[in-house]
Amino acid sequence: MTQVSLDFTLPAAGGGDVSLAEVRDGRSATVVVFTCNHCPYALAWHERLQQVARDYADRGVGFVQINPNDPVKYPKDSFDAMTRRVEAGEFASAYLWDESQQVARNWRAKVTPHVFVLDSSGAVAYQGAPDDDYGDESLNARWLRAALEMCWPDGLPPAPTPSRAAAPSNGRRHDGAFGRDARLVGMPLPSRGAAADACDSRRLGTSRCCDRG
Amino acid sequence: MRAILDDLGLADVAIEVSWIEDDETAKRRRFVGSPTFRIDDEELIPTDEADTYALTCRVYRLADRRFSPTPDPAQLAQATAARFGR
Repeated sequence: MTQVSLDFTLPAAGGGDVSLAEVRDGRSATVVVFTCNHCPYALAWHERLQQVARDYADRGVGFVQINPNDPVKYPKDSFDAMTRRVEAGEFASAYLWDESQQVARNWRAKVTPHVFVLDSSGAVAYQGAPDDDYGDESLNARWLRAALEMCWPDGLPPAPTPSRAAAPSNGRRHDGAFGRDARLVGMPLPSRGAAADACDSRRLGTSRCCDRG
Repeated sequence: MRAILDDLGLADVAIEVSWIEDDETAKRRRFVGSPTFRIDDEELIPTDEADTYALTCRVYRLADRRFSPTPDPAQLAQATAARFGR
């Protein structure tokens, strides 16, 4: 079995480079979101994800978003376009450019948005969609929020949380997967259970974000 | 789309589904993303000037301005009715 490192250092829209180590440093949990500018599902879930980043920023959660798409094929996913969105205040975290798409391949990101939660040890606590319906803003990224609540060692979150944050389960349009069988470095991620249905053949690693085929 | 046509009394209007499977076809068909709806090869929902022809998903805005991978059903129905003079 081939083992890959999930670590990365990538250029950030707006300037500088950001590494996963920096995002994780001293954090109770870390959220890594593979997203982009042109995908309707990514756009539909975008504000919910930014709200999670804002809500958990002072609770020891690191948050970073990565665009792994090919700007030649998708001009709306260019670094310049990323920068314009960041400058417009559309992102509540660093927004990084995975130009080679190698990071997306290493993480086995399949769709946009594809959300990963790492606990403080670097184990993948959750991967999948933010919640079960891109079209229902009231779901409030509940799968992601539930995963974050599970990342505190004593099982008690440090602050009150919205009551609608329910345990993830199989959903009508998306699936999520909990699991601690993948460590940050040296173990491949689970191959099943990622958000799968909305754009189920979007292959980030082959520049076919929204293709079916 | 079938339901919209039926509701407009256009049950005899046929729907043709075209699969766009490569970038070359996307460019040739002036295809800005899936799904795209046309009547007599004219766009029912206007495209964005910034759109490029590519094998990709299409972004729509619903009536409440939310992003969506499919058009607002009411807008689609209205555009269809207008195209057929209903």
